[in-house]
Amino acid sequence: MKLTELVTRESVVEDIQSTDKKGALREVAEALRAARKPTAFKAADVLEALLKREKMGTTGMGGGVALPHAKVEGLSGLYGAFGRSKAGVEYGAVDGERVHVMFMILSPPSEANAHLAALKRLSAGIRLPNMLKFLRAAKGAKEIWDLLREMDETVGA
Amino acid sequence: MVEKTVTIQNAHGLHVRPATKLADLAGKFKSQVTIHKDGQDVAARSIIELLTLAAAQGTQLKIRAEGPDAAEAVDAIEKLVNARFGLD
Repeated sequence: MKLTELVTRESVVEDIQSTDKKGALREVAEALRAARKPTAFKAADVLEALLKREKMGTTGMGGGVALPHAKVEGLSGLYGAFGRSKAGVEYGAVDGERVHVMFMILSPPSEANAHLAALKRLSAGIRLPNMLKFLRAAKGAKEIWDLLREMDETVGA
Repeated sequence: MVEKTVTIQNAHGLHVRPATKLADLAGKFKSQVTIHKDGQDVAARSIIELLTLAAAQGTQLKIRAEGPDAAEAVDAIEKLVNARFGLD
């Protein structure tokens, strides 16, 4: 699954306003809901699932990147959203740094391999030279979207 | 150089949580630890690199370490994988 299918243009949050973790997750989850309107999606339940997952161990993996994710019963497939924070989110990341780039993934419990495939594509894209720097510096949602497309094109199938 | 082959046993494969645990463990050793899958090799202490393996349940991985505590590092990671990362 391409990143530009996982995340849609409308579920890109150009600048997350909250600097706390819960608020930031809520903003990005809400953008996902508004853009995709997945059935079986209750924003409050999803936020709770995301926070529960964070309690088991942070998804802030260092270098300003976080991959918050949760399993949601009844989803028809994987749903993603992208959030960028200019100020940075206090996330409790493994390296203690603020999070500026956030990829959110919601998946149905049965889709373990699709989830792994999405993580592979995301992580391969994120580690492209300067990609994080460009995502952080992008001027707006369109530039962010173009970078996601570039990640898809460079990473390949 | 020390090398061992392990099989991913937990149902959801090497997703973010197990990758985070593995990277954290690998970072505790002085040796350079790498994980190999089908000709792809990545630094064990990088979560992002580990996730690019997309190692599902049943995947065989080679753990390789080079350095003063290579044997301990490989043994510790083998144990973590065989303990299903303490998950499932």
